[in-house]
Amino acid sequence: MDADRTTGTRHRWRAYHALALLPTLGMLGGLPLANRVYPLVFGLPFLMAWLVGWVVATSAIMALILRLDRARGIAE
Amino acid sequence: MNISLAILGLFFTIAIALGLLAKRGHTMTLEQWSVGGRGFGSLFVFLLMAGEIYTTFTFLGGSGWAYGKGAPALYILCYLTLAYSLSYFLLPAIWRYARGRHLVSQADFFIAKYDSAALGLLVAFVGVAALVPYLVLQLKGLGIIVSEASYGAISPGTAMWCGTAALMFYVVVSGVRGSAWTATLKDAMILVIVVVMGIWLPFHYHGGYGAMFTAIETAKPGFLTLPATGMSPSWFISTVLLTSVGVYTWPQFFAGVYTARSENVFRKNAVVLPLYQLVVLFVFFTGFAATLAVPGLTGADADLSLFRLAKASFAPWAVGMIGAAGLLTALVPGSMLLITAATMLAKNVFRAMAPRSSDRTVGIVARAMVPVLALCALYLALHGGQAIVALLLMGYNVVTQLFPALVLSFGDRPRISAAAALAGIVAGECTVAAVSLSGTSIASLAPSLPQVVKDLNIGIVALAVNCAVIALVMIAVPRRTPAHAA
Repeated sequence: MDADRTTGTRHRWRAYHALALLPTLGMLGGLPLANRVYPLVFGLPFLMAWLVGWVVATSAIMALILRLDRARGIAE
Repeated sequence: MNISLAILGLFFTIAIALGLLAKRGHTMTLEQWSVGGRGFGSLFVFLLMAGEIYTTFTFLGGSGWAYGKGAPALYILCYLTLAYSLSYFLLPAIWRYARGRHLVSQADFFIAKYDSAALGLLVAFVGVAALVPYLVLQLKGLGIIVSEASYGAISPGTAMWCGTAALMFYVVVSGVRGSAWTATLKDAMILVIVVVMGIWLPFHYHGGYGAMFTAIETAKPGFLTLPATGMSPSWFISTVLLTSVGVYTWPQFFAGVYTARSENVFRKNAVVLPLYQLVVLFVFFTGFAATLAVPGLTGADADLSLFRLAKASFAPWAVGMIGAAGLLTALVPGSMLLITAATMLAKNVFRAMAPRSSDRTVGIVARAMVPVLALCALYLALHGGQAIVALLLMGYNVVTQLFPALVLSFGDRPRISAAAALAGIVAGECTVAAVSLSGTSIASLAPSLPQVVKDLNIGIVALAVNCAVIALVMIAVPRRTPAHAA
């Protein structure tokens, strides 16, 4: 506990960390609407393409958070 | 001797050699053996963290689900992705706490956070109870893979014996360093093989993805979407949420986290791993290609679809390569599971009973537990009947019960007492056991509820009981002020 304090690396929550909730909300929240085969996207059924799209978006969102954290010295 | 058998033998030998070479230049203290002396760089940590993506479960089960169930298989892609977004915040916090305290196991973490040996003992038992069936699953998968890829030249039983012997040998010698070295070979092979299969097969049989999925939708309408009942969107969402929080309550992941040299690797992993695990998609493509090309496999046989299609499509040497990759998907996670379970039995169970034993003794006990655990798992893999299947299905729900106590432990001090954490875990585990063994579902508990509620994953009930008991204990038994407030 004290070690956390003295190292000065304890996690500090910032408003933009809430972006990390987007993948969960988007991927799963939109699921009932995306549950269809057509139109195919790049040859994939629409549902599969929807989920793959969110996987890629998750990576982008986490990259953005890392960038913002680095700019503020929260992450190296 | 056929060519695929020779290839299997070659890669098996390379894996053992890598596993043994990994020890060179390191004295195997417990901290070195269990968590690599906390000195692993980005690549090793990445590979250990990515290990969850390609176990035999995803290799055989992922293609098997796509083949037998269709769209519900996609949940695998989703829960891993959401687990990585959570990992960005969770893993650095775990790592920071563990580093200065020389923690080597998940139970250590709970003992230190809650200042409770009893809680540590409980967490160790829960962990081992979940790890052993998981190890059994890896051995069973190994048996299937080797016997299929060798065209029946080696029986599943013989393959399991050889695999277990190799595992015991390099795990005892090299510990988690052996896992990391073999993981590099495993990931390199699996990437190439899965992508080649996932691209080649749909084009060979259907001329492309669009044509393949159109043909599947025509032949089996509804196969590519979630059904209205059963594995419905409601089932999908609840299962993804439950399993994504469950990922990091697996004890082998704690050990994986401890191996890192710096916390920053976890943040970078959270960016890269979602893309890296998209490779699972190619496993699904293989399963989907098999639905029309090798139809008729039902039940547990659906897990054979990948190999049946491969044997119908490729030359024996290629089947041997696929088998070798599959073999590694059993050995690498298997070695992590063995090390983690052995460490907890030695550090958190043996030492709790013999508190004055030296670090050296605990290290020896840990390595002595490896053959014991491995042979137990082998026995269950060879002779276990339906009980094992039940345990396997429970595994995820069993470890997920640690999640409330884990999350509530962060901050300057835990937000709940050790007694509340303990009571919550016990209540949660009892609920998991009761509903799993009796085959209860929400639909059977309350048939009058709307379908959306009936299709929810039953694991949510156990987690709710767990949290309710924590709340009750916190209200009924006020916490002592901590004696070590200074």
